[in-house]
Amino acid sequence: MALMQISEPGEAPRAARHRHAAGIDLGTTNSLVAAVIGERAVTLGDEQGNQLLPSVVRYLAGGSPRVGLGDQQFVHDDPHNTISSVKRFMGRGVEDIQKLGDRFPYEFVQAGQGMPRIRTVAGDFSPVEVSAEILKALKERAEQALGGGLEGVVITVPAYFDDAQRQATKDAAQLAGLNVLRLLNEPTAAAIAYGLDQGAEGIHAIYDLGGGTFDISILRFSKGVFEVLATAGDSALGGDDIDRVIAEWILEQADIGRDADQACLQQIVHHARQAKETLTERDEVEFTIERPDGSLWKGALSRPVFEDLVRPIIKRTLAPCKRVLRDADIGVNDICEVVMVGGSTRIPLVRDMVGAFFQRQPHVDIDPDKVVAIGAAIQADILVGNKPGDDMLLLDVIPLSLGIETMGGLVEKLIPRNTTIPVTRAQKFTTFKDGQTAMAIHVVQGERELVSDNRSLARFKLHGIPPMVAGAAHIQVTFQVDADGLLSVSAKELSTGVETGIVVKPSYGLSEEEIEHMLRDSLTHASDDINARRLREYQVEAERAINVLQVALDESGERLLSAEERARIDEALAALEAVQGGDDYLAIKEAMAHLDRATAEFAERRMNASIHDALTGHKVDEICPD
Amino acid sequence: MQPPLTKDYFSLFGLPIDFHIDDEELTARYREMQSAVHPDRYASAAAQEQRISLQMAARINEAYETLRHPMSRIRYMLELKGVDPRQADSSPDPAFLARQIEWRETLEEIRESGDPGHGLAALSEEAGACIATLLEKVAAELKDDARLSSALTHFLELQYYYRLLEEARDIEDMLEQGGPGRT
Repeated sequence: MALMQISEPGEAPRAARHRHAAGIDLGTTNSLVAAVIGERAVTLGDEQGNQLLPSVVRYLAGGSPRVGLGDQQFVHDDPHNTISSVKRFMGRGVEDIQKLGDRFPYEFVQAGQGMPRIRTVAGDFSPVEVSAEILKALKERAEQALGGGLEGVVITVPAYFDDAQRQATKDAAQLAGLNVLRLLNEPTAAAIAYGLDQGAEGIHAIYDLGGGTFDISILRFSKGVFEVLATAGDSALGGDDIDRVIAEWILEQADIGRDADQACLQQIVHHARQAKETLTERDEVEFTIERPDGSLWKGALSRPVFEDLVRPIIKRTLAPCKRVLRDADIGVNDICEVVMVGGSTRIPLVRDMVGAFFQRQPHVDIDPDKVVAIGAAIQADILVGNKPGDDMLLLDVIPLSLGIETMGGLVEKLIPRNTTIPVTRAQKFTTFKDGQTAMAIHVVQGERELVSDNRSLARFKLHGIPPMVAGAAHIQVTFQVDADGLLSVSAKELSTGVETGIVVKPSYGLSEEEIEHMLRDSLTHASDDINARRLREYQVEAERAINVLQVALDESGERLLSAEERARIDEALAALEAVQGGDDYLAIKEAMAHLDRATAEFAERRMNASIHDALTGHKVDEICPD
Repeated sequence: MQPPLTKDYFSLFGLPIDFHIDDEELTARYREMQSAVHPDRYASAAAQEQRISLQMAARINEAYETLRHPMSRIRYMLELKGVDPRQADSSPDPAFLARQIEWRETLEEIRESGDPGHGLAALSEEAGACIATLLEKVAAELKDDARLSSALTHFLELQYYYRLLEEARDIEDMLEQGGPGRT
């Protein structure tokens, strides 16, 4: 932790002020925000004390969109402009959305390739922008509760989210003006909240069935280390599917055609959801439904019939459960506890079937709606630097294999699923034509052999390869997955050392220009233009860099730097300080880049020293084995 | 101090280059090192530190992943000696080849009979015993540069036994359909 203390000059590093941070559970049906207040992580409510914010955004013809509770009814009254379950569309193309099986009341507009937009009275919006509205509402709620701006947030995503879905989530946060400290997997967040609470050691299964996504993760807790052994799931399976089968049952029973109008269908889905919730406690639920012709249908759904309807859906969660055990290389007897997360685990049949599979009673005494946000808040508090002494370590994995397209439309896997992140893999390529200066790489994610059966993530075009005879150029392409589970790619020609340029074309994501454009659109105040915003960002980043460096120099400048090296750094530091307060962001950027180059070696040496200290700080016999 | 990004994986963990590794010690050191450099420790740090932290954490993960499994460890040790197992052209021992065919037939019989019975357990046990013997051989051969080619031959044999175990596991899973994983 020593390197991350940031302090004003002259201030003791340990006396760092408290920084506002929050954990956000951006859910399919509901979203929550939580923060550590005092010593406890709590979810933050609105003025009426509601903790759950329905993930519903209603666009109005004039004025800004409305988010949350009061708008849920408009899902029925104004279905085209009231968007719910937008999480299901994140990082997806139109054809994926059609495959979800639902009939959505929205009009999707596909502008060329890439991310579709939803047509509303206020304009066309991508799922990223809709999600950003939900995040803005949560941000506001947190800032009001904490009494100040947020320095950073942890946003949770389903563990089984692929790269495009994760990137879309991060883009939404950027649009909402949030600094994302980390994207955290939902079951892992739940494990943090649960594990820290119970002080549990051993191997745990986290079964997380939410509104639209399913995850199963196997984690080992041991002495402050949370290690994800394996994860599996289905990012298009959840409570929404249960609502749909009940709605279809109602349609059939009430003899209502599938061509009924949207408002009628939405109303039936609403009844279906209520029936599902009622049946967690009661044995029967009664309906009175108005048919399109105005006549009424009265009926009842008993729990046994309900269970027959939903059993196939719950059964679909058991195949990933089986696979995850195998991937983690354990058997059910190795698991000491099964933890249930997500609103859908309230259904008694889910608990029964999961209990039967794992051969033990699942743990249900924590609130399955709140636990993810609580875990995210705990992690956010640590990451923002409020707990300098905390030695909790979280080791998560990549949920789906990453590969590249090779000859014949086959996939060559580069990073297998359940590899601990961060991870880098280098792969060498060569040219097949004389004088070839460019090359295309298609990156896919998934477990199947054929490219067409996997998710297309992006096409990378390498250019600037020095012209040589065929096969002479050796291009090393490095794939890096960071701690958020996000992929980046870089390339270098090995014989000449030339860094080749890369153009990324995300298959379902937004390009940087599109995000920039959206950011510009979203800034309404005249004073708050994009340049002013950029300047502020550079000023803050420069200040941070200066502070971090000063602490680092005080701590180990003498030990790790020669006088000559020190002089070079001091000079670059002075140059940045000279422009940092000014209004020329390009000058700040340039001075920062200069300082970055001047200090790269020093920073690396410091990190080496910290590894060295970690290894020698304990004698071998002090290191506790598992 | 040599920078971690260029050290070999053993030195990275402060271990001698030897096939025999104390798993618990490796894991303990891995955790100590990740505690020092993991990106979570630098989530609020300057961009430069975040970048270096990411590189080092990835390197440590790669090293740990390579060293913790016997096969990737052997492969890596061969590579350190300049032997590329993918470009091996060593011809397998005829007796070994004959034994391979026999095992494959046994596996097929078990698959068709639909009853894992004792056959599968006995086969897995035998493969396990062969693996243990071969690992000891390879460990000794890797210490002696004159015996690298037999280390490579034994490495390739090991690959076969591990695949065999994997297949036996697949058949077991298939036969006990509906049952959750291995218990």
